[in-house]
Amino acid sequence: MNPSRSRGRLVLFGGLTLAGIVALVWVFGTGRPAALSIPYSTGTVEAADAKPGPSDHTMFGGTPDRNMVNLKDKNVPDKFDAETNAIWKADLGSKAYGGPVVAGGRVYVGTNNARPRNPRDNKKTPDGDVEPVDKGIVMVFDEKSGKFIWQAVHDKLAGAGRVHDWPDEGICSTPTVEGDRVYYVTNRCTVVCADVEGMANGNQGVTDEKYKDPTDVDIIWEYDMMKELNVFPHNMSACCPLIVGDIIYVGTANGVDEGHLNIPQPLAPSFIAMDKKTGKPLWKSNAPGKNILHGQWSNPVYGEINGVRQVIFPGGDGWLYSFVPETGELIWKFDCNPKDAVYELAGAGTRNDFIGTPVVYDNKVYIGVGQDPEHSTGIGHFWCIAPTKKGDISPTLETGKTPDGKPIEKPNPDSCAAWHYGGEEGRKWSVRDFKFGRTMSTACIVDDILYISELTGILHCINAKTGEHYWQFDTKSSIWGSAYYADGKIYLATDQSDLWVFRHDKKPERIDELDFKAENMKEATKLRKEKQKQVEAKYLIAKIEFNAPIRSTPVVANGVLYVMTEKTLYAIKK
Amino acid sequence: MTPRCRPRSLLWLLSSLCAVCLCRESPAADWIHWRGPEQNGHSREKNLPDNFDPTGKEVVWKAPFGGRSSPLVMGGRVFILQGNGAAGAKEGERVVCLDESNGKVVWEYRVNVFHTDIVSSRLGWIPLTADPATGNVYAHTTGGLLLCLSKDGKLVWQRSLTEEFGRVTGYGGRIPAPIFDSGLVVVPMVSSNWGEFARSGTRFVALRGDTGEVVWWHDAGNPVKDTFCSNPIIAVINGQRLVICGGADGYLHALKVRTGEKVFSYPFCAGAANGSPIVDGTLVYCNHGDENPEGKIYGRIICVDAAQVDPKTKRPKLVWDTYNRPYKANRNQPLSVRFGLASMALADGRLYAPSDTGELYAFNAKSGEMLWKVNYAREVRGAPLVADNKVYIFDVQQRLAIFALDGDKKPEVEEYRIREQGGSYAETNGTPIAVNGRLYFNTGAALYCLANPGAKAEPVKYNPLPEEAKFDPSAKPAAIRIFPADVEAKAGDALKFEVKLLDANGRELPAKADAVGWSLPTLPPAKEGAKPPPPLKAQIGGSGDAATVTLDKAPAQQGHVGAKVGDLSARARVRVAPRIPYTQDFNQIPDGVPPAGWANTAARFAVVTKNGQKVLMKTNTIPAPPVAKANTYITLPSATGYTIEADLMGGEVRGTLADMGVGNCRYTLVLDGKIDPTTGKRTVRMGSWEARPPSGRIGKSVTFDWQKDAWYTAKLTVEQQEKTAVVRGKVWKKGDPEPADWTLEFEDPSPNREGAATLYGYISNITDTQPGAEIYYDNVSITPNAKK
Repeated sequence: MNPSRSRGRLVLFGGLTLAGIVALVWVFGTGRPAALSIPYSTGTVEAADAKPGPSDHTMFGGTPDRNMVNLKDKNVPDKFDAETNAIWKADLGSKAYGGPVVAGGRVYVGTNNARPRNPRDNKKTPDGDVEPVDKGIVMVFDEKSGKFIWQAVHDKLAGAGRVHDWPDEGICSTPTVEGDRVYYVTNRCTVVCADVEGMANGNQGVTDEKYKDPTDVDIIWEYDMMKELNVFPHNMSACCPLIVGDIIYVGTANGVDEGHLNIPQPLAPSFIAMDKKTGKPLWKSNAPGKNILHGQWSNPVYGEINGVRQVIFPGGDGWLYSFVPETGELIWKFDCNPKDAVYELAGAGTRNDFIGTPVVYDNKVYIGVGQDPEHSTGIGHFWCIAPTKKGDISPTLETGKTPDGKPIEKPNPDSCAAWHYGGEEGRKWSVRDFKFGRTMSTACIVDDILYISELTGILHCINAKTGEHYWQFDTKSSIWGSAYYADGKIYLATDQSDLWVFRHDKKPERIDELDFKAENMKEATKLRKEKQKQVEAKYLIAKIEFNAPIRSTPVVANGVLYVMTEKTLYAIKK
Repeated sequence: MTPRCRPRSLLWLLSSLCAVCLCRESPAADWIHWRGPEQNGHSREKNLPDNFDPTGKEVVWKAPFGGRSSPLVMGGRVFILQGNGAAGAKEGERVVCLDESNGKVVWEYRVNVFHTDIVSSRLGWIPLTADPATGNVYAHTTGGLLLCLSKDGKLVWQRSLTEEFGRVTGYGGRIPAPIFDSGLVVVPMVSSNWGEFARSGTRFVALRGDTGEVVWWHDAGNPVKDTFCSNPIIAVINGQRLVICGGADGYLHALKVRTGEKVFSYPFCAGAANGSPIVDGTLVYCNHGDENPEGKIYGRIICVDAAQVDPKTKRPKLVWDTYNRPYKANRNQPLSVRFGLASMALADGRLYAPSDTGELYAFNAKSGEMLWKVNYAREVRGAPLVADNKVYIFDVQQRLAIFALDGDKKPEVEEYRIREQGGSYAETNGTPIAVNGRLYFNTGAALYCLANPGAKAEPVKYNPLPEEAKFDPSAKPAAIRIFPADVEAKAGDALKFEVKLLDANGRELPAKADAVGWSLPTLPPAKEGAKPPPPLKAQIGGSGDAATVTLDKAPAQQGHVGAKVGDLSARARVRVAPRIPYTQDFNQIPDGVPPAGWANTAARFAVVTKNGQKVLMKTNTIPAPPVAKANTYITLPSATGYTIEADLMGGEVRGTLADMGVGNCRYTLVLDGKIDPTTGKRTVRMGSWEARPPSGRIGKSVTFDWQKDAWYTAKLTVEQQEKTAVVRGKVWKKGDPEPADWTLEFEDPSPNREGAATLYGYISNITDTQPGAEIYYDNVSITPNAKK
């Protein structure tokens, strides 16, 4: 099953322009084109402005509450041509799932090594062909010019293949930048703290890095979760670190093996807290334990909810766990699945885990459930939780099992479920069996209006306080990233290479696409399409085509819109 | 498992000479290759439905046999391989035969699934193949059985590819299809076994269609990038009859059908090449959705000219590909598109290529020019069917898309949602077919037959394969082949081998080989993998084209038989597998060597001296899944009615113990190395096919807090009853008296009737720099059950 990465963001670039790709030379004798040599910067480019910008986007979601909004920037472009309106473009590998993060004049992206920046990272085959070696890469670019500055190069976990380190996925973690340090999780299931300057200013911290060219990463500390904690990462380690004070929080990716039923290391932690200066573990939890369904690729979130400071981890068992940040003491937990849900590696399964990340907003927690996209869509749920109590605050409690193994449940007096959207859709003219499908996305909440997209391409607009559903729009393409708010608009990118831009409305109109009376399916289809046209006319601003699928979230920082396709980072400004 | 008979049938010889190809010479009303008579996804049927309503008049019949592949239609019957839909112990896979006219079941043949990590929702992804001359249907099941079923649903023969040849399960259920041609069933696979096949490789085996005997093996020789699911096709190019298929090595491979000799190969993917090829004249098309060997962007469609093969590199000339060609519609950039898990179609000079992410591209097949692109889906695994000027293709997410083609112009497309009764979410991974005026396809829940009301099927004509080069009975032999090419025998057997003289197309020449130099050779050491086995302990006799190899009394061994005729040479593989009763204490085996006669053991297990004691050790330095988790297959898979007992010991590394166990008739008794977080103790479990939590198709587990560095004895016995099997296992600390009670016991209502005796090991904590936990085995004993 494919590794699942929810994150999506951008990168900056520098190197070869795309036109260069076209200028390939054939070698007819071998029937294969000669490998392109990528221009390689031997020197380093200093970030033009190393100071924090007015609206840097320094981590997944921009802030520790992970809400996908930018409330500062104005005049963000919404109708443009990607190729001609970009202020710069940067070549990435062939896949890019980490970032972009914009901090201190630099832009950070997680990608693969399909376009090596350093000739060292190529190999020569027995046939004499030059081919890139598969590696995990964090590329760092100059925010103003897009020029390449430095990169972190991490070897693959040799031999493990798809089990731990899926081929060619690169680094899927969105880095977190704080001051002069950047933190990320590698494809090797290690947590890295690195110098934002790279190796160019000398080697600080540990000095046994494998790669030490001037454009290589300068690692301060690196913590190996497989070696030290016996973690068994499923497919890929992808967590986007969270920093609160001096503590860094990371989900470990512990999961099932390639057989998809056995959890080889149920005692290994799923969540860890570390000293951000040293990488020393402070506390850890294996709360999901043997109930992990698949892997764990979501991200922790921080919030002060009704005055209670807490770090919330999404568990691979479909539960949210809230902890005291300093001690790891459990504050509350919430089961995001119906008790009778059944897990299957296919669309028919009704039990889910998390790919999207929880958002803390207005003393509440928002999250939708999902699965590895390889398992297709299926019935999903979106939750708003108001955690005012402690312990198990799920909607119901399981009190036992029937003789045939079905759960017996009762309402939970401590339930903190504020509202729920999803479940089965029974209306006659619905084209599917459920209201809300599995999601890989994280919520975007602004003016008490919530936007959440599904894997199957539908964007929902919902009242964040009440759960009232206003409208939905079908992009007809898979969505791995999230809706993102900036400058009165919602940006949403898809697997079919498009960036969709919608108008944000503080008081949205309720347009229910099944609110009609029809005699037959043909008529119902016509009426449903009319409703969809109403949504499009009212809320769609633009659909902008890019050069490759976009499996990331477009973000805005310091007045610039960054769109990261799987192979190129675009910086676009009005 | 072993072939029933071994006659040199005249029919088979004739079919080999005449090149009976299911694809071309079958009646027009058959659809045998999953992509149709021209193997390109193009049906020439007319007047097919242009819309779909699951409850509409266009549904001729619907049968509750969901699946992920496409049906096969032959002789008025429809055949499909699919998961049988039952949960629990009755879950398995079956070939279903239905009456084409009304969808009524004629027969079904069910098998268990075993020795695989593939889960139940992924069953039935492998297209069938058939021999229209005999009506035999061939199925490659998820558990690795290759079944030959007669037209009335009786088993003609079967092989267990996993247990006999070390075939590796595909990832996520995607496994390449077999193909029947020229009297042979050719099966692509990733395998690793013994001798020169110890290394994991993309391999093709050809079995006689009538007996299941091995005619040839082809080893592609390149590193395996992944398991793969390219389905092969048959072509005649430059007068040569070829089987063409993608490989786990990222290559497109073309082999002579009758011999497996390489004609050309073309590397074009950094991962596994999963697309199924298409041939038009001398042009061969294939697709992939992984990274490219040269880097930069992923995905590629290639068009190569197989008439222009470089004699030195054996690579065909590239005509065009999407990697290098600038596309105006893509701002003069090459295409970065996942043309990965769905295969293409070719019709009327246009190549239709679906991306995994739901766009259908149409290209001018000769030039590679993009004609149009339409977004129609979110997630695509099935291939397009072009028929009646329409394209039918599924979105996995319960939608059928129907395109109304309009020459080179971008077509209109309509989506039809499929809501199955009962509201279950049934994915649509299948590929539609059209034959006899009807359209057939699988959803996850059902098999549909559609037709326009009142429409009558018109005869249609398909282009036959080009003629092969004319057969010249007096031609100088171009190659020789030993038949059979791979034999499983028992000690003392007198094995008959023949040398065949072949023309350049692999056709048998009437002349008999004389002056054949027969030998029992040792192969030179391979660059990687296990040491080659010593020469067969046997006497070889005979002259001319036939030889008798009389094996000596060694209870188990492997080796080769060689033949030389002038400059031409060939060899065959011989395995003498242990027979029951059998004991093995490893005392006579040098360190570093696997026990003789065992399959799937080299590189995965080896004898070591531990504390002065000779034992077998599981390899704990290679994290690749087929090595980290492995069964040895000690006996042949036909073994039944026996008990296996062995001593096992686990060593702790980084706080972790591995899983270790023994297997009997496809049931496994496992000492689980992990500690249950609830009890704080380890467990022992026993079952078969861990497809669903918590215990697989059938199984049980119990707390048994075994400890590191201590020997335990495990005993597993399977008692076959009339309709069930009683499976019993026990574990005790070595040296303690054997407990009277069984540790675990269950009765299987869907019993495995036979299966190789195995040792099992799974080390989950091997990293690229550190060895994982250790497993040792000793004192293996396999004994027949007492007769009652």
